[in-house]
Amino acid sequence: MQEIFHALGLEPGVLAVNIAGFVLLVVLLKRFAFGPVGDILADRAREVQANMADAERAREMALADKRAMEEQLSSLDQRADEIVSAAERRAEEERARILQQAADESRRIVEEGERRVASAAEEARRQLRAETASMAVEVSARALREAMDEERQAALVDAFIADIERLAGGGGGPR
Amino acid sequence: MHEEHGSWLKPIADLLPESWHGYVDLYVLNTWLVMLALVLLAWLGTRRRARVPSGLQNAWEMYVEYVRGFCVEQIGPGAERYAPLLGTLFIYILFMNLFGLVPGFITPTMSINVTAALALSVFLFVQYSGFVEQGLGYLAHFVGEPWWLFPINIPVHVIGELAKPLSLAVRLFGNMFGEETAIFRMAALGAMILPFTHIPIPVQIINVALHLVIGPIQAFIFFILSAAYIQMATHAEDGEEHETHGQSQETPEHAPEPAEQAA
Repeated sequence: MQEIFHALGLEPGVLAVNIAGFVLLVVLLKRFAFGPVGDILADRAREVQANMADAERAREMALADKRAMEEQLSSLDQRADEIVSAAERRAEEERARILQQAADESRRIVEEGERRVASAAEEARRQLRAETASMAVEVSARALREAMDEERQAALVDAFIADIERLAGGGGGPR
Repeated sequence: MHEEHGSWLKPIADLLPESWHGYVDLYVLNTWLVMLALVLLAWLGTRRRARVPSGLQNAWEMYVEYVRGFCVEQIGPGAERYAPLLGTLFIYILFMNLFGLVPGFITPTMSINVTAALALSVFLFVQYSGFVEQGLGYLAHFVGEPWWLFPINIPVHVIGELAKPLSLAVRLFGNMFGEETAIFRMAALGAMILPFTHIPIPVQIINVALHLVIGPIQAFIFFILSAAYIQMATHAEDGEEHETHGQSQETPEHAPEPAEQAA
């Protein structure tokens, strides 16, 4: 055996020292590298899992908030529709009221105008009668002053009547 | 060979007491330096554990995470427990393979005692894992199928098991010894042609570049094969089932093919 080892260049003592050195290195690297780094990786994996769980919870909360907001938005849309409908209804009523008020006002104005026209006509008739009376007095006075005969008197009366008819037919014509 | 290469540690090796001879040689001293460097790097990388990693801590985190993931992928669920051993194995061999490129030091893996020690450690750990995972049932895979062929199967399987550490050790030793020898010879050639060229020509530069590629590759092969051996020892029934039922039932988690192909 010794000869075989020697022929191969193997030295049992050196071999044993090398094996011991390798075992020692495994132990030391496990203590200083693989152990601590494994812990770091495990911690990081746990942290990532915790963060992912947090993110998942946050996502679920956000989804719930989104659903609530959508429901709220839906109810707000409904409320807005109601408000718009009510506003349109009120606007329609206001429009009708304003139209009615305008119609009433125009009717009142027309009636007022008619009333004023009637009053003015009555006033004109009253003035006409007063003027007719004064003209009659004037004609009578003229006839008496000129001592007029039968024919002249008849002519005066005809002229007077013609004046009256002209006045009555023409309204504001020349007198 | 180490005397030919020379090393800054040679004076220290010469100072070792006579009783240490046969236990500690120049290669062992170099492995101790590599171990010291690795432990120092580990300590520096993890002494202040920042929430947001940077620098060495970042490098260690990436490395440990990769090894753990590799173990789970190659061996199976729960195989993170093998990460310290396999992760140490890879980085240790990698540093040793490249250590010879540092002026004044030698590559420890060009010593069969170093590679054999690593292979023997893996072999013992594989057997231990097989018994831990399967109990005495682990011995059943030595019997093989059909059981009545056990007089043939047992020696064949035992030889197969022993061939694993042998192949691990010899492959790494051969590659690194060859590379180092080639670099040394080429450097010597450069010195020999100096009287003719009058300017130093680094003819060994191609071998050095090749060494930079071969070193990590050999470390990775050792690493991946060790993982495959652990996988086969801890999932022996799965492996036999796969062999029996063919490729269609194999799952990526339990398929040792990449490692076998690398071998």
